[in-house]
Amino acid sequence: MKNWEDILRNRLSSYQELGAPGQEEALWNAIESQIAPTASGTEGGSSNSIGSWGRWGIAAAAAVVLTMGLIHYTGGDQQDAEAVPKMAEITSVSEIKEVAFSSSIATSTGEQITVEVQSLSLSTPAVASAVPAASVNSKVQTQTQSSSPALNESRLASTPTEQKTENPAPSNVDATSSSETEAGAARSISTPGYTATAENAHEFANEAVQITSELLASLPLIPSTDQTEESITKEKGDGSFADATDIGNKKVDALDWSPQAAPLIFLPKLNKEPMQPLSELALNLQQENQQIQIRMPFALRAYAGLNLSQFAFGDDRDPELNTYFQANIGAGGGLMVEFQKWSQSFAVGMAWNEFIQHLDYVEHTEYAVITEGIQTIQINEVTGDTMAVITGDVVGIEQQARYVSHYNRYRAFAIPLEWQQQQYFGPWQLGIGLGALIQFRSYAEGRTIGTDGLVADYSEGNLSQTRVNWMPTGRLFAGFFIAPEWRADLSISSGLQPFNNNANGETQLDGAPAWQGRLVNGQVQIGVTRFFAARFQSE
Amino acid sequence: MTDPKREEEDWIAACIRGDSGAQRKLFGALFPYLKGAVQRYIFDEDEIQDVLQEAFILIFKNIDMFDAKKGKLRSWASRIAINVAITQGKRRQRIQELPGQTALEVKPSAIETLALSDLISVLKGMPKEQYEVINLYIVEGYSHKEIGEMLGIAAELSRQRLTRAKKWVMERFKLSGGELVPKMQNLS
Repeated sequence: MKNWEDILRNRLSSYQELGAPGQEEALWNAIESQIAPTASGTEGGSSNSIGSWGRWGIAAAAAVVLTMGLIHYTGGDQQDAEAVPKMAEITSVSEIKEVAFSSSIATSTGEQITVEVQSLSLSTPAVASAVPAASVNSKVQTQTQSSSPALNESRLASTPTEQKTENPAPSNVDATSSSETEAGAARSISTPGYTATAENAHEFANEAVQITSELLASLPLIPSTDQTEESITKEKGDGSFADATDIGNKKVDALDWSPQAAPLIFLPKLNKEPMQPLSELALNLQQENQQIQIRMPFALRAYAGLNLSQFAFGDDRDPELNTYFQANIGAGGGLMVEFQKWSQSFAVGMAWNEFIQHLDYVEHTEYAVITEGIQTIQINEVTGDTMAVITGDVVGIEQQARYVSHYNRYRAFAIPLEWQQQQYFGPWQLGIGLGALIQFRSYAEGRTIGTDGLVADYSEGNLSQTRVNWMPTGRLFAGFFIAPEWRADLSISSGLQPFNNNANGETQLDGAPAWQGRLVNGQVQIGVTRFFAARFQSE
Repeated sequence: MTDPKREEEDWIAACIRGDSGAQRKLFGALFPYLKGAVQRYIFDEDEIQDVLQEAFILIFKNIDMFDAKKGKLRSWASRIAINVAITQGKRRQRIQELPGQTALEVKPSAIETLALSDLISVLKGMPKEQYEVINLYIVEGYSHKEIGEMLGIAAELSRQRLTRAKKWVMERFKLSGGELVPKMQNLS
């Protein structure tokens, strides 16, 4: 298959024309006379000798100037030589000052570091004791909420507001891990007991052990683990609630703050209401013997942001045409449900996006026109005077330029599907999301450049009849827990989608141009996520 | 057996020194190519002579600017000649189409089989501004931006002229689409 353009190129580019006999020689003679002055340098002659003397004179003058300049420069060096030591001294002084300044900084910094370390070491135990308390309480609250509706879930949650701020990320504990939940439950009961009534520690310890045993017994679906048993044993054995609390704290530290801990998608509520007496809890738990089921935890994320879109032709059109399409900013937003399945995090939802790209183009057109103009001018050959000017119809070319600046708009409802991988760093959460956006076009309007270099309009009616489109997406996101159940999100995503008029590449009946293109877009989204705790439903 | 490339380098070095013998040899070697290139842009034989003369003078006066690393001497010289031809063309009135050529219709296979001089004559039947662009774009390989700078027009207009030139060729050679072979098979 040969393209006529290739044939034309191959044939015409190798075209040679020898010319008529004598034509080449005549042309060379004419050229030789023109380039003769350039070639005279090698032939020599009297005129050349004058030129050479001139050159020698210029060279001698240049040598004199150089010598004078050298002498002047040497004198300057001598002057500079005296100034150099001063400069060196100044430099050394400044260096010393800099060193001294640096050392003082280093000393002061060292002091600061020391102070900080000390303060850190002093404050560490307080933080350590506060951290597990918050997480433990939150777990107990969750269990109590479902197992005993009569009980106010806040009664066990004695943790003050300060603890919430000190430990804003109890979500590090995996909710699906039943063993950790049990262990947390056991510890949580002991902690408030200790803090509430320190004088009667033994009594409360016994009560706590009893309640813990009953609570564990009332959770048949959640198997007990060694960790829970170990903590219970220690509480029983020592009878010292303080020791048990310390052990529990250490274990919670190891569980909750371990980087290997599986991420948790939800955060349970932390209530600020007064604690319920443990004896009442024990009674209620004895009265209720209900079956408990764990539902899927989930989170709702609402977001909105800016869409940056860039269009480019994807067919065999001249790539230079893409330079006339510039990226522009649209808007978008949506609501996503994030959940866990198969030990993975997923998200699905609904979104609306507007993609805008800017066509900035100067359309040039030219037409052959017949207009009145000068046909001939008669000039007197001897004097050069104009004898006559004859006007009439002449053929000309009329050129028109039209500046086109148009914002092309494409709007679509979308169903985003996303797989997420995330990591927790204290109150921060970082992650990536990979997925796809299934789009349903709702509106499109714009202008494009045809193959003939002319601007053509397109609209919703003459675009591809298939309104459904899909786009692979990637997203980087960062979240910060502004409250135990709320997270502020910032994410950056990008996607690539086909944007065609007609897949067949044929001009449509209404004259709309056919093109195949792609739309690259990037999104900056801000949003907020509400986490919902796992529910324990009683039957 | 002398190496043509080495020989050309020797000629260039001698031309820089002003050796008229080397200039003559180089002129003889370049003349057919440059005339073929200029003939695609200029219609009148006298004007071709003028353009060639001006082009060769520019070549010999600026031969020291030629860099063998950037390309062949023939390509460099052709570019100079084409630039001169286009510049000269701007100064002249639009060349009228030759009588009888507008009504000439040829078979699609003519692009392959027609004698080159006749093919050029047929192509010269299209409007000159379009003919310039199709030559510069398809044959010489210039971009629309470069063509726009050479012709003093906008790149967008160059693109439009190319589209019209292609359309003219398609109509004249009865081509459909870009492929030549299927059409030939249909006709045969």
